[in-house]
Amino acid sequence: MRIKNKGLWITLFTAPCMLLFALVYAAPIVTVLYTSLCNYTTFSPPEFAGLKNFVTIFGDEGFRVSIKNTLLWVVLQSTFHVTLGLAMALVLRRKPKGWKVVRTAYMIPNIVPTAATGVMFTLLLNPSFGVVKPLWEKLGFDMGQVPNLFGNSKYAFWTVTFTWILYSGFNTIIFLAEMGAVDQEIYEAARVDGAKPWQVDRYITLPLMKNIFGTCVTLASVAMVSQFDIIYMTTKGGPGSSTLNLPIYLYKAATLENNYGKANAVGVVQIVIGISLVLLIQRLFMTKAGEEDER
Amino acid sequence: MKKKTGNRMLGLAMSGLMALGLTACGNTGGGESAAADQTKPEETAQSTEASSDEKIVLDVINYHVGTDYAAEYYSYLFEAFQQTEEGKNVEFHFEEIPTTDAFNQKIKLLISSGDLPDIVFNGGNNITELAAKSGKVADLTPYFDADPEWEALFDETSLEFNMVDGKIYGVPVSKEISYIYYNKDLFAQAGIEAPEVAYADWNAFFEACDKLKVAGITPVGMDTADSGWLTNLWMSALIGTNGDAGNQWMNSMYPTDFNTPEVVAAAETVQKMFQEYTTADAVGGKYDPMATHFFNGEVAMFPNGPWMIPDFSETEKAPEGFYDKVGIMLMPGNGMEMVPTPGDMVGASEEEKIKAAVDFLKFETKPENQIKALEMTGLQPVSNGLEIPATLIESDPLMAQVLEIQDKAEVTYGQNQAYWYQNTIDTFSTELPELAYGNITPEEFCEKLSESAKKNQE
Amino acid sequence: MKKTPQGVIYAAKTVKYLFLIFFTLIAVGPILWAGISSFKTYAEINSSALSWPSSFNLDNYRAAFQFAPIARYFLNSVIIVGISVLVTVILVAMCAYIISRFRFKLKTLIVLLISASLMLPAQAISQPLFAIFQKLHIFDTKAGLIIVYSAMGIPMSFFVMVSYYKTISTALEESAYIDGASFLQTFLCIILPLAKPGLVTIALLQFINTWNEFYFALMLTSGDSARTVPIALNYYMGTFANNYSALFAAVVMTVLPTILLFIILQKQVVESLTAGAVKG
Repeated sequence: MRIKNKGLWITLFTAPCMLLFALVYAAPIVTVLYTSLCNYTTFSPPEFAGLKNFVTIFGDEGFRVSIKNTLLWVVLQSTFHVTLGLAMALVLRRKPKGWKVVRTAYMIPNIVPTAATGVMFTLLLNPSFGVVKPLWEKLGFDMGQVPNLFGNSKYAFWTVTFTWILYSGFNTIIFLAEMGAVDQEIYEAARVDGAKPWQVDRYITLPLMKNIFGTCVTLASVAMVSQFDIIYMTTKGGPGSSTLNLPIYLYKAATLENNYGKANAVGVVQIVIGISLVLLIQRLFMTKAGEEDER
Repeated sequence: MKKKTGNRMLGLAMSGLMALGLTACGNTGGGESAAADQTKPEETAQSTEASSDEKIVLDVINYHVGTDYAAEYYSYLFEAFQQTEEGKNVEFHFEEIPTTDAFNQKIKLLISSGDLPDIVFNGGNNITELAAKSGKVADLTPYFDADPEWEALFDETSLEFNMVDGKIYGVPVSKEISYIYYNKDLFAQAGIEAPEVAYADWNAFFEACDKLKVAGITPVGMDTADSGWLTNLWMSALIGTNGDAGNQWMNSMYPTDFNTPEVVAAAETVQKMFQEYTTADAVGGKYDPMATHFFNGEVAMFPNGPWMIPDFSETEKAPEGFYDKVGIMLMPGNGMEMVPTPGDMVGASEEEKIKAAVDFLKFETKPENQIKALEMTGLQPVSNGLEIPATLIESDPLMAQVLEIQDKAEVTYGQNQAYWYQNTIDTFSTELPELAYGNITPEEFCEKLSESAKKNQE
Repeated sequence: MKKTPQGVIYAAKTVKYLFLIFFTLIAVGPILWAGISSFKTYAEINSSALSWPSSFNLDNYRAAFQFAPIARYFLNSVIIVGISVLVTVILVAMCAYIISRFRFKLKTLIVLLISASLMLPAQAISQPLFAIFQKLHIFDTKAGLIIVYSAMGIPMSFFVMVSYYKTISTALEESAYIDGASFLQTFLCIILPLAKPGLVTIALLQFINTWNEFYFALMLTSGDSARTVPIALNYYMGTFANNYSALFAAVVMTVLPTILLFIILQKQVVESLTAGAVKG
């Protein structure tokens, strides 16, 4: 296309977006990378210190636990959680009675503020007035032993996991959309050939879901690397360090220890883990990277 | 950079001193300072001009809001100040941050990279030292020097507590004490009698706990969430009443070695208390639901300070007539937690704002307002020997008893919110459940606290 | 071909419906429970978690309004989210158009930068942002949050819009240019109207993400002037700690707007979220 002042328009149209982007992303990232190598606290400006912060954090048991928990959550979320979403989509795809209601209801936990989910579960599982006590009683267990689900490190990790792992409605709608895009003739042909429903799912639908499964796994992993809201609202990383993950560790380093250098070193680790995971997952799922055609 | 701000602060303090020196000589009842300003137009022309024409706006971050125990008192205080001669030209610009935790967080962030509000309330957590070292709060020593009458309201310990490198940065408005409240009915139910002042030692205390338990009554209230306030009070008492070594430890600022015999022993006792003597929801629980247990007559003993007394007669919180059921005793061995409060500071940098802020702090510490605070919130007067009105003894016998029992304390000690590093308080709160469920030993618990405290010295 | 026995079919059906019912209950159960509890008195909450309230009155809601400036938080949220949606949509509409249509020197760099930021964990950059905002004096202001939220929305919206623009044929633009239309005229009068569905998609996506955002609101606000609804929950936890009935009411008021929006605009919301995930 021949356009007058093309270069000017390109600049005018991209500059505002990129400026904002630079302010909120680029400048902080550069700062994070640099100050992670500094002695830098709430009360002292950054001063170069080499790898000291990294030595400190990797020597800290709490940090190693947070890496372990973060990765464990990534694994759980990218396997069980995403698969659950897929399973739900496979069921809903055939539009059983009430499927619309289920689809809507199942989606709701994914669109309400996560902070609210955190508060709700704190209340729901409170050992003195939550639902655990009456259920415990009905099941006939010892009333003196009502489990304190968020308060005891024996249960805390799984209780926190429970607040998000079953809520895969977001993945369900993505899978449903992808399934809707599958050519109906394939299904028709399979039906004519007498394929049973599970065979259709197993041999036709599932193989077509591979790429989108990869997308869902990527999203789930990135979400877990930065999971913060619910943990903050329920356990704040405790009891002990049973629910500590990288974001909480970072938050505490910045706000409780006032150690910005350390917090930003954690940030660097978090970024590295995030990016490595994404690259790894793309390796696994995206057989051919969709090259975009340019004009 | 430090030097520069230091110089600036010095300059400000000097100019503040000059302004004060001018006004203070005519300042007898507090009402004449504005008049004094006007009689010396040539020196203070600038500030007078500003104060008579336009209002001085003071930024305040207030955490005494919502359901805070002192919310009502502070809203009274701000309004009353504006009725005074010094305060009539002052306007407050409020920002509300409920809960001391959130407030401390915010102030610390502002110390690091922002402007502090003109009046900086002090929520503890060694904010005084941080603020003073940052050079963002005014040195108030000259103001005290210029007003001996004001200075005389404070005893040495209280002022020393608010000094950094020999300069006063905070104006203490109260002192903090705590002891045990007990429910007389529940004691009677268990057939035991509460001691007049305190149990002679912890053995006697736990014997009573056992008897309460036999009668089906939960003996003590404890918590772990936020900062684990109640548990902290028990643990401080256990350490602080454990001989000279323990008492000294519990009176020292920013301890980093928690693996002393006294602290470990206290942790061990706290573990036992969690397992045998408290409610099921204590672990992971916050202060308020635990207080509700006490109000509802579900636990017999509850450690806390005088600010809880107004709650006893507030029907939204406690059942009617609860006030009369409450008794007071000191911690076993006649122990009592007592810390001078970290005082409110002045973050303003313009001379006239500093002066207005100091005027407010003077107003806040006026004897009649200290009494008012005592009546409305239970905050103990920082000044000694204030005359307690007979009406208080009549209207609030518990509060009167608090004043009386204070003198019987034989050992006093601090508590963690005032004396420990902030991240260590957090570690205390997150590791308590582990201790309570026996997932870690008392020694390991203390080790974690030591580790966390040492992080501040890296 | 072997026929599946009738029993197996019934069993499979039962399992299927149990599965559906279980997950529906798990999904809405906690919210319904909070909703029911929000009508209970304090004594009722304490005595049994699974009972009905004695009466459905709005006392707890009134108490919630009394203790905290909830209306104000809603207003803050509306302003912050509203403006940031607008800013993101405008900026992305422009930038993505250029990327989808032209080749130029920095194009690859721009695409690379934006796609890299897609996988950036937000907390990692929060401390520097905090410091920068302090310096610019936009810490704890609505403007500060608007800036962060607008920028946060860029990456996902950008890719959604680029791929949307690519579905629009260039024939129209070309004939417009032949007719002597300027670049701006073409963009405003021809492209934008055609791109409307794409714009609605990114607006909704941006709305949901920012309305629920918690971390930056926690780090970058401290007072009532900029506190948004999700962060207000943190405040309620402190202030309502001894008034659980009001806390329940506050939680319900927090989750209700998004739920209602979702139910009313379900189709569009689902489309937006899908587009955001697949294209972003």
